[in-house]
Amino acid sequence: MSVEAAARLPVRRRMRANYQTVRQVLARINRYPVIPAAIMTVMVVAAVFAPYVAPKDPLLGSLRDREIPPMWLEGGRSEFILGTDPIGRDILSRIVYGAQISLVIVITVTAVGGTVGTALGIIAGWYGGNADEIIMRLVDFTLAVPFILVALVTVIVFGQSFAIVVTLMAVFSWNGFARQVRAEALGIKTTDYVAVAKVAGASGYRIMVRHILPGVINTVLVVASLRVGSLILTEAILSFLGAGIPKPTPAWGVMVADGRDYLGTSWWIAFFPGLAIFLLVLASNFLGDWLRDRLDPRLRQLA
Amino acid sequence: MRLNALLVLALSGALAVALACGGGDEPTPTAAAKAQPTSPPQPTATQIVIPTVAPLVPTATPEPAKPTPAPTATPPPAPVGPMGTLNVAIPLITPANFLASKIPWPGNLNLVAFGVGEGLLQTDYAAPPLIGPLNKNGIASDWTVATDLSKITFKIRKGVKFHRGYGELTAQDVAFSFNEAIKPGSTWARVEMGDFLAQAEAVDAETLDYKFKKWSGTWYGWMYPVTGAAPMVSKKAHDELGFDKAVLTPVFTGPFEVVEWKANDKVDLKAVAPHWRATPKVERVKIVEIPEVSARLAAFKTGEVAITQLPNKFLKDAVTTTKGRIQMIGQPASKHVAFAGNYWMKQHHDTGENIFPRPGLKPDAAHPWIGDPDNADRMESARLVRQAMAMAIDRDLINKETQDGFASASHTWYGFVPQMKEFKKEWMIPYDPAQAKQMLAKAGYPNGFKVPFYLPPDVPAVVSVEVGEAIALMWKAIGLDVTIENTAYQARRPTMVSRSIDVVWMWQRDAVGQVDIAQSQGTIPSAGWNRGMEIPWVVDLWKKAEKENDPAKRVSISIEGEDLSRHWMVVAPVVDISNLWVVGPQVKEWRPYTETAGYAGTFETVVLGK
Amino acid sequence: MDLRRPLLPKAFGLIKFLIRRFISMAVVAILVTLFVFVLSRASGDPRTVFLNEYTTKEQWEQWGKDWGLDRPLLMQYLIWLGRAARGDLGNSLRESRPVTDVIKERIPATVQLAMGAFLFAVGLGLPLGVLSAVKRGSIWDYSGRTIALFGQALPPFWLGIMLILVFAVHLNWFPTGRRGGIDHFVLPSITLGWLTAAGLLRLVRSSMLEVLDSEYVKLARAKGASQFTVIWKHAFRNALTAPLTYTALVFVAFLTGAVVTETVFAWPGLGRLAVTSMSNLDLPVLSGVVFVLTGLYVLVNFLTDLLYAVIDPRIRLA
Repeated sequence: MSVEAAARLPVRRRMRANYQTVRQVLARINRYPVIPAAIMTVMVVAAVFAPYVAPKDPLLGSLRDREIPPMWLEGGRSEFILGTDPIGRDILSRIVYGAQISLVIVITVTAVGGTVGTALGIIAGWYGGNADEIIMRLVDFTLAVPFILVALVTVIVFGQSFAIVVTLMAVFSWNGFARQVRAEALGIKTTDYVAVAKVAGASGYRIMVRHILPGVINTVLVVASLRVGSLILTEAILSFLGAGIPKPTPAWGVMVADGRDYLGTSWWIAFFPGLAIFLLVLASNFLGDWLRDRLDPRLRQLA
Repeated sequence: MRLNALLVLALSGALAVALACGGGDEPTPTAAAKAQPTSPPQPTATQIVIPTVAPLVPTATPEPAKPTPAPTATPPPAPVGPMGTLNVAIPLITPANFLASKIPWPGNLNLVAFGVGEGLLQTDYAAPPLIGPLNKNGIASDWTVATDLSKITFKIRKGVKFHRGYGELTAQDVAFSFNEAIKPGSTWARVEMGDFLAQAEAVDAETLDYKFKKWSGTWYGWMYPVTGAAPMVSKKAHDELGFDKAVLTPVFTGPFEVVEWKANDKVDLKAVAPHWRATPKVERVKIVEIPEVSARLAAFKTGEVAITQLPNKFLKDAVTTTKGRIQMIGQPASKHVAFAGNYWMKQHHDTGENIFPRPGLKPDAAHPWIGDPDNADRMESARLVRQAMAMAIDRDLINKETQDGFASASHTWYGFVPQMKEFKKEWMIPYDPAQAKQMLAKAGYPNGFKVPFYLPPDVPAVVSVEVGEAIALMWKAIGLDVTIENTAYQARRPTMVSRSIDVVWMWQRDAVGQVDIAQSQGTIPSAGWNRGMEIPWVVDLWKKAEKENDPAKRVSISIEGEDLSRHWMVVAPVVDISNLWVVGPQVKEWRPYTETAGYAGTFETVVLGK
Repeated sequence: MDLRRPLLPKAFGLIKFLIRRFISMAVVAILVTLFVFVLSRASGDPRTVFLNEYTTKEQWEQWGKDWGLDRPLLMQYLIWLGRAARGDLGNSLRESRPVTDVIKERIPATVQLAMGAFLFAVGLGLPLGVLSAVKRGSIWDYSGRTIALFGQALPPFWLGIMLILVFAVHLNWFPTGRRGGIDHFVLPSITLGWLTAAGLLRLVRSSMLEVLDSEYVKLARAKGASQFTVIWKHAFRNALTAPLTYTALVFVAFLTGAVVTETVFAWPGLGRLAVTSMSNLDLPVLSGVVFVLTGLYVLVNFLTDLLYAVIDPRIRLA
């Protein structure tokens, strides 16, 4: 059930008085995900307006400026707010441009995977029978494949590139959509509304587009928003393992991998990009949950 | 600050001098050593010259010489057996295969370096230069080269015992070891020995005939402990266990025997005491694989490991924290940029078959560094591009910032260093980004171009990705658009072998300070592995040198080669990075073989204690 | 259970269902191994890894014959599959010994890591999930949900690296990696298990909430059962279904997802084996590892289905 309902439930009668206020405040905040929305907005703005937001060029640097600590530490400089990496590039600027990469990938993969998955889900749900079997087998197939290993092998064969990363991620992300949309479509299929349309002679295609599709939109949105976080994480993991976007483009996962050698000496190189990943995923998960609670609480089991 | 540096310079000079005289303990600075900075007579390229590296940071201030104890009347204590456990961390532990035909690179280096396997010959410990005096302390106690250069007859020592109770070594075992390494289907890293060795034959139990197909002036390279000699294995063990099991069973003659060997995990060694040649002073050696630099650094700082390899940047931190010291393993290697795709040879120099064009020869708009041997204009524009890219690199800055000053700028392909008499000033590649930009414009690329830059991430002993990224930065500064490729080396290797690699990448030339024209190997058609170029004049000079035995004349051929190399710049040397390892204070003494590939070992010379 | 209806058709339906599921999973597994087989062969000819100066054409052909590379790709796959079904995964090109030996040597490390992660996940996720559900709306609930959200957002490699930084490098409480005694397990288990702990927490919580709200529990409460009995005897047991299947699947996800953790902690397990075999073009090992992982996945899925089908008859009819 939704958060508001939970807050209104008659929980325990005996509540300690000092928790009352805290709970009220928390309940208020919980109503709207203020902080996550703020984080998300900051990231998106940074990503979209990267050239204006980033203080320095993410790809340029001077060896002389290598491994400078963040501004507030001893040895830090105000021109490098979060410090520099081993070859002198500004970390904050690279994080800003990294946000761009993460978001572009997420949007592209969601668009592609979402479209394909939704289409297949509707087809499977509407036609049933063999089409359903085949599509569900495909879903099972993509779930059984050890994704990371396949991604690594693919990169060895085809090299690293933006296109490869997006394709790989899209191929393994449509299954979530397909499953949920199919379930939803099955439900819609049995409604009177659709039965009437069939009787009136509407073609399968027409029914799917006109009747089923609008009905599953909510589901699609919820699934999409819930998956954003895991997409960002997946991209970060691929980058970390060297199968993501090629250097010197500043993907966050790559930045963390670069910082591994310097843990004992220049920890900020690995810390801040990872923190960025964490914050963005946290925000998007939170927002996804909130959206789901609003639009379709039945999908709770997706946790 | 200055005084400390001088003191340190003097100390390292003294150390080098003392060690070269075969000494052992930490020397105190002597008056003679302090005079070291004044230049000795300039070495020539016929000798081996290790270029000066930044002073090796010593432990804390050197302790005053301890007074020698007064002789007492008590009898000397009974000799103590091997004691203690030495812990070592290295980046890679290779598979547990123990017959040469199943040991590809780099497994061949570990076995002998660790002191498990032994080659036929020995050199002195810690004796730079690399090709030092062969001594007669090895398994072969003497040898005679036949006057017609058809064979070498070795006298095999008696009393060399195999591990695991497989008896005493005879010439039959030696013959078996050599023949096994070059048999058909062998994947041994140095299998090129088979191009020179026809067959090893045991005349009797103590005499071996090493019969040549073709004479090789550097025949000892496959026999002495550095760069991976063919280890002597037991024929009896092979016959008894069968090939498949014998491959997995380590039966050697070295000062250590294998207790456990797990690829990518650890190696556990136990001292063989007494050993016929060098009884170890430590009882056990535990070697673990720690691929992560920060983990190795942490393990070293906490004392978990006593000896390990670290990139030059972390050396000072490691030794000052632990009060340890730095140990150089072998000569520096010249890390260079290789402009692959320049396959200019038309015919195979041995067989004469047509090898043109190679798949990687792509003199098009996407590969401005690749020249077309049939098009003089393109040759010149590609040459200008390569010169520009070489000139855009600030070698001294790279040395200072990424290597903490422990490397030196590298300027030559054939191994000449500035200290040598023959070194020409015009060989030095200037740092001039402005001129580089002009050259690019002259070559037809005023707005730069895309550079696919391949930096193998999994061979840190050969390619420093950080240096590569620094170079990429510098190329960006002259307007080039650099993308870094990070495919694993082994996965990419097929393209080198098949001559299809056509990108700009980095590799190294071993043995800087040693002018050896044989280093052209990676650039000629007959070699299995190739760094992406086949250059006619390289081959011509190499063939000329093959017939030349006078070292001075070989050097002058190399000089000719260097002039041409500077003009054409198919390879742009960047920095000479030596292999420096760190040693903790737990290790009182260690005299490793100097070994170019940087695979440290020789743990039989380690003495633990303060 | 209603004893008045005959048992036999019920059991028969169950068996039919299970067989159908098994076959479809097996087909999927075969397709997966085929997919990886073909893809990995495309990454290069393993012979070139060993190629040296002076390798002759005969040697090249010989290696090809020895390693079965001279046949067409599909043929190679079928031969491999046939042998794999009998337990023969071929020989590792790099280590010159049977792939099964190599895998057997590495599996314990990964399984132990997975168990450690599992213990951590259950030890953290289960009690916190229950607590969160029972004390819904309280500070416990809020903290629990926060921990879960945090957990699902943490990049595992970053978590691992930060744990190393703080606990190994600076505090020196634990070693920086590699396999060893108990202290070597702590950080990697936390890294691998955290995400699952978070998921488990949320799942247990929502499951419990649903059950706590159900008629069954309301009835128990109305009958006067104590809070403890309500929670543990009634709610908990019934709430376990979904989390149970989740953990079963997750165990397999551990085995496959351990790649990152094993890389960060230099753990000598299957994940790292797969990665190194890839970069060394040791294709028999790679195919072998994928075979084992996919086989495990099929097996666990099958067992889960079995469990589910026994517990919940409605599933069978789906």
